[in-house]
Order: sequence, then structure tokens, then C-alpha cells
Amino acid sequence: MKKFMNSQKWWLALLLIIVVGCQQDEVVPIEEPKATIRRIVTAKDVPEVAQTLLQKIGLSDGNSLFSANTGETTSQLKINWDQIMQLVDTTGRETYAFGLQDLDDDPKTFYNLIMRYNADHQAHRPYILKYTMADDFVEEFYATGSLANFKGATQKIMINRPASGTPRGTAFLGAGDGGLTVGEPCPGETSIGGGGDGGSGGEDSAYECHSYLVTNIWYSQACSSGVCDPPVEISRSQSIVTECGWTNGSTSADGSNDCEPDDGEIPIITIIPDPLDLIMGNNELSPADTEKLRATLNELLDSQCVYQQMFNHLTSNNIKIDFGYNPNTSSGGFNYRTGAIGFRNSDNITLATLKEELFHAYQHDHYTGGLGQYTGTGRSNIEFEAKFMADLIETVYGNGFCCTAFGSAANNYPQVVIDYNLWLSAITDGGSYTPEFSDIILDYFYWMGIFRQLNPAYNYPITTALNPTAAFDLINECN
Amino acid sequence: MRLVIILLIFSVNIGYGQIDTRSKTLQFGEKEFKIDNRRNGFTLDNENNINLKEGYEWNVLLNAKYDRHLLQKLVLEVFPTNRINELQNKTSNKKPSIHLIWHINPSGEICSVTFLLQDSNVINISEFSSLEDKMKQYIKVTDFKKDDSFSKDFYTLTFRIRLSKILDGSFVK
Repeated sequence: MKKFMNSQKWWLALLLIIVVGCQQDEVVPIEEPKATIRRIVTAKDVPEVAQTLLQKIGLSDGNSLFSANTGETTSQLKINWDQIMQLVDTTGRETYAFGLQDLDDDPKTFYNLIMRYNADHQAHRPYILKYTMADDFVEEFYATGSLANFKGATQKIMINRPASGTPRGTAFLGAGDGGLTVGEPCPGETSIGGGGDGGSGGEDSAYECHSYLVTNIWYSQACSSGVCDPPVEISRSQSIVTECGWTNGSTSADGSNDCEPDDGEIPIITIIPDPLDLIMGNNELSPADTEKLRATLNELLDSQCVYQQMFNHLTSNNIKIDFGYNPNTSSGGFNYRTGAIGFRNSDNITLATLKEELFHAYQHDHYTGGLGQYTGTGRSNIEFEAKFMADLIETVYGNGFCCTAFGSAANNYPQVVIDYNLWLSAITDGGSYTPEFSDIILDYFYWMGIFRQLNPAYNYPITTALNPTAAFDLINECN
Repeated sequence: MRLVIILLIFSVNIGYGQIDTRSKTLQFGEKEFKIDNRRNGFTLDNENNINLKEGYEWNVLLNAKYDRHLLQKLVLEVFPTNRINELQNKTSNKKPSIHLIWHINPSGEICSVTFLLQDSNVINISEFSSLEDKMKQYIKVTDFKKDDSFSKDFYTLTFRIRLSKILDGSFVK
């Protein structure tokens, strides 16, 4: 019996081991939750995604230009393959935001092309998100490049392309870049920023979402063999949707729900337009001279505050300037009739010429009635103001190079350069501050008179009724 | 012996004292500096420079290239840190600067330097002389246009050197 009991204990022990062993086998290890991945990639990093996108839009390989029907207008857009925001959420779903350069250069809008995949890596229909910035946010955005305090509205534009190859409801246009037109705008707009300045589009059946943007900034640094590149700042914005619904309780026009916002996070990538693209209307410059002008304009914007203000004034008022050549000018000229700046030749695409001619464009907008009223009396005022401002700003903020007002004209009167320099130095206390116009008014018109005498091309009657408010408004904005 | 010492002190005072701004010629070593009163200040020229003779004319350059690092080095040799600090304290706007005109020959060599001064200027004659010598000896100007619009053999480039920028290195950017 005792032997049996001992045998039973052994069997019991064996059974317990088996049970415990089985229980251990059935313990499912808890996986660490996957973190959401957000990173900037290029098309080379995600070739399959880029290829799928091209197919779904209907673009051929290597192409990046197309036009989008955004409702009231058609916008020419160019895909930026070098900066794509990739988002992989905790379930493995991938979303890509491609930056779209708006070739129509409306400074208040920017576009993203959104491409989403489900967890099985099947691609959804791509769509365009059009972000329209509120007026009071535009300036902040271009100054900071940040969407942190975004105010404005978004609109979803579906890309419809059936298997036949022709986008639904759209047409392939003729030749030329961007000849493909796609897009079926969703009714209404998606207001952003807590329903602030962005509003609905006024459609009867607008699907509206209230949402806000969150922007995070982090740094990336590439290192190899202990040597690191300088850290690169990367900002990420995401739209957090709080509430959605049809404003009148109806469904969308075609009964589909494509226009409803996607669940989850939508990555955003912004492209701050190149300054030249913002201001350029028609362009007759050669490609090489266009790039020279682009570099010169960037140099101008990196220089003094007054020129940045001048440029901001022109672009925020959506003033476009045509660029080309004008061999009849000494170095360049602004034609107030056409709104065009013409350079004498490639050598004259310089910082000094661009400053002056853009300032004339600014004067044309600043003075009520434009420059057309000053082709006779007052022309000396207009010309001297532009040159005086350049010299004054150079004296205070630059290296005191002098003088645009008395350049070649002073060659026959060299002492004028000295006296003008000393005057500039005196009124700025050695280049330490910009004066008030009221403090220099008498001397200002004295030097304008000298300028007129020494520059026969500008020898027109002076009017003392035209004070240089264009220049001093800019100067005061920067003080 | 006393007379020699007194004369020596006197000559040092001329070199390092403040400049008498009345229009006149000031002897400094072998140089003769002409002080010329102008509407808003005065100019200082070394009269021994051949290109400042009567009838001399020039083309005004709005810009040109030169070695800014070298110029910074030369200026710092004449105005060491403690001297610039001293000038900053003495200058009413705390931004002492040297406003000058380079007279340049077609090869880009500096033939002469005209200094433009306001009454408040506290730089002395020996510093002007030394700076002129160094600029003429070492600086060469390049990349200035010599097209049809330039009709004279000589050129001028007018600019200001802000000493605080020289000191903090921002001048060379």
C-alpha cells in the first residue's frame, strides 16, 4: 500500500509537471506596442509607393507635373519627390503626404497629396488636401515656416481615375507640362483651427470637420565613424479631427463617402515656395539668368529688413512681376504700365539693380495712382527716393558702400561723393541709426536737387509735395 | 638734452593727439595730411599721393571684391582689441567706424586712401597713416567693371569699416 501511495505521489507529481508545462505553453507573450513612425523619406526610399501613386494619378514615370481641379480654379501642381512624410501607425497602416509645389504660386495655399494604405498594404485612392491659410496667418507662416498656430481651412480633392486610364469627370489636356488634369473637389471645406477664419464653402451638403493642428519639431543627425553631420530640424504637423458631420444632414452628391475624412492621423508636409516663384509673373529670362535672378533675390531677402518688408508687401498683395530683358535701360528698369522688370543684360542681374527695380514696383503700389502720374514732375523724387533709401540702408546696416544716387554721375564731380557720404554719416550718427524724415527734409531736397543736376536722365521738375513715404514706411516698419 | 626730450614729447603728441579739424596741412613724419572741412565733416588725405593732383578724375564703383579677412587682420594690427574697446567708450554712439574712399588704379592696387571724418571722430593721425600704408601695401581690389560706362583710368570705392564688426569677426562674413 505504501508502495502504491509512493507510486501515486510520483504520478501526481508527473501530472502536475505536465499541467504546469501545458499551462506554460499556452502563455501568449504580450507584444510591445508598436510605436508610430513618422519620418521624412524620398521617392527612392519608397519606390513602390511612388510608382503606385503615379499609376493612380495617371502620370508616366519621371513625371511630376499635373493640374488639379480645385473647384473654382485649376491649379498646376508639381510633386516633390524629395520630401515625403511617411506615417506608420501602431497597426502598421502607412500614410504618405507628398508635398505639392503650387506653380500658380498663391501664397495663401499649399497642397499635400495623400496616399494611404490599409494594414494589408493595399493602397486607397489618393487625394489632395488643399490648405488655405487665413490672412492673418500667412505672414506668420512665411516668417516661421511653422504651422503651429495654423488658421485657415482645408479641402479634400479626390483623384478619380478609372481603369480605362481617363480620370472620372476630368479630361486630359493637350501638350505641355502639367497637361494632365485630375481632381474632383469635395463639397465644402474642412475647417481648421477651431472654426476660426476658415469656413465652409457654402455648399448645401458640406461635410465639415472641426480639427486642429499639432506641430512637433525634432532633430535628426547622421553619424558615420564617429563623425556627425550637423543636426537637421524636422517638423511634423498632424491634423487632429475632433468632430465631423454633414452640415445639413445629407449625404455627398454621388453617395460615396470618399469625401469623409479618414480616421486617424493625416501627416502634413509643407513646401515654402521659392521667393522668385511667389513674385514672378511671366518670365522671358534664359534658364541660366532665371537661376541668377533666383539667387540674387535670395541674397536680397537675406540682406536688410526693409527689403524683406518690401518683398512681403508685394507678395502679400499678390503683385506679380514679369521678368525679361530691356536693352534700352542702363542696367534695368521697371515698367509701371506692364508691371515688368527688364534687365539690360545678364551682367545687370545684380543685387543693386534688383533692389532698385523692385522698390519702384513697390512705389507703384504704395503711391495712390501709381507711378504713371510722375513721368514728368516728380520723376526725380521717385528716382532719388529709391537711390537714397539704398544708400541710407547701406550706411546704417551694410558696409557703407556708396553711392547709388551719385554713381557714374559723380565721376565728373568727385567731391559730391565725399559730401554725400559725410551727409549720410552725419544724419545717421556714423551709421548707428535711421533718422526721421522730418529731421532731414531740407537736406533731403537739397541732395535731390544735386542728383537731378548730375543725372540728366532724371532731370525732371521736383515736387516738394511728394515726400518719400514709400521708403520711410519700410524703414519705420523695421525700426 | 631737455630740449630734445621736449621736442620728442611734442612730436608724440602730434601723432597721438586728437586731430585739429581746421582746414590745413598737417605734417606727420614724411607725410603731409591735408585736412579739408566739408559740409558735414572733414576729409583727411595724404597729399604725397600722386593721383590726388589737380584734375584727377575717377569712376565710382558701387562694389568690388577684396580680401576681407586680410583687411580685418590689417585693421586689427592698427587697432588692437583694447584700442577698439577704448574707442567704443569714447564714441558717443558706441559704434566707432572708419569711413574711407579707396582710390584704385586699373590693376586694382590702392593708390591712396581718403578718410571721411565727423567732428566726433577720436581716431588719431598715426592710426590713419598706419592704416593707409597697410592698405596700399597689401590690399588688391578685383572684379570691378571696366566696360564702356567707365571712362576714367582710376576708380574709387567708398565704404565704412565698423570696428566692432572687425573685432567680433562679423566683418568677414
